[in-house]
Amino acid sequence: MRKALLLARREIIEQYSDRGALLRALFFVALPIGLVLLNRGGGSRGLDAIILLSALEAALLPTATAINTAAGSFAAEKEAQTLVPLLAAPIRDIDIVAGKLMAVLLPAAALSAVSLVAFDIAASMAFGQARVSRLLDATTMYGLFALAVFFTMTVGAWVMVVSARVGSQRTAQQIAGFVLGGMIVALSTIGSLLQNLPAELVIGVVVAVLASDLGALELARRFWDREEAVARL
Amino acid sequence: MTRRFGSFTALSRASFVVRSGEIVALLGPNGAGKTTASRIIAGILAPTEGDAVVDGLSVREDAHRVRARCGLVTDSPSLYERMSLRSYLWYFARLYDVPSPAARIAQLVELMGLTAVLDRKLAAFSRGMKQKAAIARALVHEPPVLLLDEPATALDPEMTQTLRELIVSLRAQHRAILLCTHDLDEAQRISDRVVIVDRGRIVREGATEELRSAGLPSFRSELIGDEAAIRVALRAAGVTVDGASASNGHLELRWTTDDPAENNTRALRAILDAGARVISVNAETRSLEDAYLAIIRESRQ
Repeated sequence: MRKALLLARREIIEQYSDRGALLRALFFVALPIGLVLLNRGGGSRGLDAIILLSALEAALLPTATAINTAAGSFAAEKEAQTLVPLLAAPIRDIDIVAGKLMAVLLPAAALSAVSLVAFDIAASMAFGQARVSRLLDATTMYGLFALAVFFTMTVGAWVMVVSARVGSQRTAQQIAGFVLGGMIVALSTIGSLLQNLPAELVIGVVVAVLASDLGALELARRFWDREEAVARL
Repeated sequence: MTRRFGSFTALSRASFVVRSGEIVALLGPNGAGKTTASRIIAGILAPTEGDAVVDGLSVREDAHRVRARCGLVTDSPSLYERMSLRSYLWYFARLYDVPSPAARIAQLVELMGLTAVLDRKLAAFSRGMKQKAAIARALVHEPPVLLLDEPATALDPEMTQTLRELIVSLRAQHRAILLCTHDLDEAQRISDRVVIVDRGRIVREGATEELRSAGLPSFRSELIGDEAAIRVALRAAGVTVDGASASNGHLELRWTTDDPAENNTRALRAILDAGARVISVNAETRSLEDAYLAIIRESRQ
């Protein structure tokens, strides 16, 4: 695990040493705040819905940019052939996969937390603390944060599979965009269905997503396997 | 060791030894299997059949520990260019569980002449400095085995010489060094032994000097005289001429013999008896390149 953390630390520094990546992350933190502040109309119930929807965006948008940056960085490592020295080091395949997943997950989770808190402060200032606290109580905020982490894990794992298969950074980012888009549609559909589904089916959906995560991680581990990676270099 | 990628056999039943304190050059044309061999030995690619034993450890059974005993340098430096040299070496030192990374890094940059640029970003390095940084990375854990895969590619002559001196100094530290290259001049200068690989098969192995001098000794003589008469005289003396050329009234003849003392005396006597004048007689030394090309041609036939 120490080596996985070491790898994750290097990847995170590498990703965010690029000023463009930082600016993109800040933009996605600021975007939901801007959107909610611009949507003052629509009546009391309409405004509640907008605040909730913007809070969801605040949780998820920064994770999307982190995933996209990560997708590019995986493929970049193959392009620059920096994978060979890494694979030649005494580090297990599982540490490589775990390190790379942590490099996606940790900044995404941190950005999501910052974004949620910033959104809560901005919305409270604009619409009153009482209203925002009623809508975004502690449970909802933790729930949104957990959703962001869960979303990042799912998309991150699948993006790793994609990234391990493609040869260029640009292709990886384009495909990651499709994966992200697909995941957002799937998440919205599941969200609307969950309201009317019985509890057993809700649990079933969660188990299915978890199974998909595990499947993606196993695929990612296999594709990052030294044999596979070296054969493709 | 044998390695197949699908239906393509990159390496077929290759077997050779590199001892500590020895530089072995693995020579071969592009796509011969040199990189595949070095990657198997480095523990990053498993052999399809057979095994490689590194410092007593089987690559097949203990690849993780094998990797800790090898230092690998490839033709491309493969650096994380946004990192400074210090953080780059520190990162690999930690991956290799080096006990005192700071001390080791200081030692390495001193050795490689990179002390002044320790805190500079790798992206700002010249090609030669990047390759030095890659070598420093490969040495960070003091590996007993060093695998150099075309390390001098794209280096200028001065940097190539510095690299050569470094490799020789590493041999003096009792490391086993495998140098994969198609730079025959480089191999001839520093390697103790040579392994020639072509189309995945090892076609010749031996001491560099042995390989160079393999085959019958060859001689070249520069003469002034009638070529036809000289040829007749040499044939009568039992010396077969392998090649001849003439320019500006000078004739150059080449022959090989398994008994220079006896046959060269007879050849010279025959040449003088034919009325020719001898300007020079020289033993021809075969370069490693000549030997290599002859061996590759022979193996393909």
